[in-house]
Amino acid sequence: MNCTEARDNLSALLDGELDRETAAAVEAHLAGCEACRADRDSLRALVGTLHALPKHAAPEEIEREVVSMLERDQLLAKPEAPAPRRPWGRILAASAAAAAILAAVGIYFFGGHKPAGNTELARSEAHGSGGDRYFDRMKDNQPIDDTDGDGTPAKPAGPEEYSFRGRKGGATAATAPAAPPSSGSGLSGDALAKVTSSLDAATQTPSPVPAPTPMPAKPRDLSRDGVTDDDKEVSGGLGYHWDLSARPEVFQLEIASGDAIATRARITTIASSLNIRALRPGTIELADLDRKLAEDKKVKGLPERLEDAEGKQKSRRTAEDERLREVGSKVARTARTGDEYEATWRKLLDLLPDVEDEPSPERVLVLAVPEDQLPELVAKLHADQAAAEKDKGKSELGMLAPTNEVKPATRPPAPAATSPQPEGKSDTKLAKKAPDPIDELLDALDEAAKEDAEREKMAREPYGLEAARSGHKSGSQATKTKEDVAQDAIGSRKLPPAPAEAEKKRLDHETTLAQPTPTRDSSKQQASARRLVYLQIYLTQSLPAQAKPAKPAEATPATK
Amino acid sequence: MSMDQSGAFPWNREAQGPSNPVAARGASRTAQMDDLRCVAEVRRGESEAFGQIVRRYQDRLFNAILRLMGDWQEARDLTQQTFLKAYVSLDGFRGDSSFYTWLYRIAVNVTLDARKKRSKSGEVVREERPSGGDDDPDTSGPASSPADDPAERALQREREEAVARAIQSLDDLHRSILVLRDVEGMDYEEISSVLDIPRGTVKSRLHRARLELRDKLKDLIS
Repeated sequence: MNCTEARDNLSALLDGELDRETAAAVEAHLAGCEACRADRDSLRALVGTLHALPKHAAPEEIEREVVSMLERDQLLAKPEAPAPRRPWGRILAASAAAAAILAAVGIYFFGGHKPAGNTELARSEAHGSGGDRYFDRMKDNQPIDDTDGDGTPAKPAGPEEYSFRGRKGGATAATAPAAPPSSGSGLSGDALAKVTSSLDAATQTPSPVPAPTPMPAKPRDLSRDGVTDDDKEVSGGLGYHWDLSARPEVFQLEIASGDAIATRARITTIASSLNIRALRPGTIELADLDRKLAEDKKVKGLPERLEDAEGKQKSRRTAEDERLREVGSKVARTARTGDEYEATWRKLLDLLPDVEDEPSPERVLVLAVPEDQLPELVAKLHADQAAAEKDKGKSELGMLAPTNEVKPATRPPAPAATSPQPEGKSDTKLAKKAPDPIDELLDALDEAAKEDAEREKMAREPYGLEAARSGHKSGSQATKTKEDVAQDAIGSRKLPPAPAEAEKKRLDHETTLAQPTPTRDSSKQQASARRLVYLQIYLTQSLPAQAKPAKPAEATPATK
Repeated sequence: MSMDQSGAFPWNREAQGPSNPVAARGASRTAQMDDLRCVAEVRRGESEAFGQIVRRYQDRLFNAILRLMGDWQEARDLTQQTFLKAYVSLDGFRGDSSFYTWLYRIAVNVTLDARKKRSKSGEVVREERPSGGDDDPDTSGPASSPADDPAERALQREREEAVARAIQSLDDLHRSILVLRDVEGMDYEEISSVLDIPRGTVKSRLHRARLELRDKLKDLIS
């Protein structure tokens, strides 16, 4: 080996990246060449200097902000790949399922203020122009319907592309090529740039936007759920690129409860038993969502109208709050008897017809519910209320009629794998999805871990010498265990199953769509293709009309 | 912060040469399994699992990006961008490379794009940390080199800045390879996977980058 060859290999030699033969040749040359040795030593010193560079801890805000962005993204429901253009089949199916459940459990929908003491579930319209109109109506506190104010059918909004207010200079706006649209991310195309830029904007904002006034979404009558042709994409001015067809569906459930804390705890327990998590308990994230819609419009160039609307809304709310407080305290001061209290209370409600629409934050729960678990959750909540009612007799939760038993028919629809659904669009999609290689790899790793544990157990067993031996034998033999396969897979960064086999599996899945077998795979696919919907639960006050408050003085503070 | 009691980051210890290669391989495999589990969970809709990924990689990514970019604020923003991009592109991760290298590929792409933009707009690179005083609590030098003496500390800082400037003067490919190897501690195979270039190219370019850097830092090293 000459000097040039040796010097070319010096870095690799220092890094231990030369094969044994070449390394030996280079070392042999170095032993007899002082110049090359000096070269190596100087490179070694450089590498040492580089390795000695101090490592900095990442700024704390990285994690905080990323997690916060992800939470927001959860609200916008990252859809599965590939996102369907027109998921109305799924939406209708979900709505129908929810409607069936509701019908069976005796829940009825509301469209405006109604006496509490009922469990009410409605799907709010949050798609396309419907979503925008919904927001507008909500702002103006108008009833929601599918027509414009003049009764003509609503015009679907066109695809709107809002420009983004980037950070100053825009030096770090992301420009990395985004995943192809078919990758199925909820934020498609150049959306990433928007997401990340919005992050910049967020970090540049000196003071956070004040928490939105709790403003529950106006519920919408499911039976009038006019599906409009408005599954358009909208870019959010705050950086999100919303594919409105993929936005989360919002269901609302109203539960009358005198003891909000206890009810809330029970609901949370039920939800966590189903692995459903509450989104920042006590806040109304959906109001936040709508607020973003409003801000988008500002970006779009409709500032005055919206700001006016918002200002008006705020002042109206403030006025109402004051009146409420005033009358509430009057009630507390003057009401001596139950009847007197009730009469005053009713007067108060007449004065403030929208009180029920503005529950305090602790009376609102938002749950992120996998779509297929929604019926089960609602059924469980209902059963729980029935149980609570039984315990307490005619309690403050007593809104349930005796006929409200949860019937078997109202159970959540069985998985596609075991009973094909008539509205099979979504199920077909689930079943068609190819096995996730990550899941397969994880399965292999799990199996390997199990085998490992068993082998360890056998080895520890004092009388299990034979078994331990056989384990050793199998390990030493050429036959590969699953662990080996998994380790090889990791080592070589290839997926374990033979491609032909995986392909066959996939094809089998597709061909047996009509009668899919309840295999582990299919259940896994279902799990990975789950879609989140949001369930807003309002814990409303029991009104005197339903249950006369025994202690008026206690009921009054809740009006604050 | 993922520092052990000695004050060194885990990857530093690995870069210095694991005493037990089998144990190191096992640890790396465990980390890969953890990554895959998190990925699978995120893809099932449990986005909290992504928080674990962030916690696991944020320090390393931030340091690599800082050395690639040379600017503290931008490194912070780009680290965030990397995580967000990884999140939205997670469906595209098929497991044919390790999650670690996949994440770094995103980081390098994001960073190089940002640099291109910066050079187009003619912005000047700021020094590393805007408020970076000598008492930077986040800075962890090797545990065995306590720089208690202010003069020594200033000298060390000056040296660090000189090295950082020299790294910045390299071209994109050379700088990327050098940072991935000498800052991040990747082996040639991993660098090849991250940058999508042949292993032979990694070897030759890394050597060239080091020679160039050695010339620039001649005084410092000698």
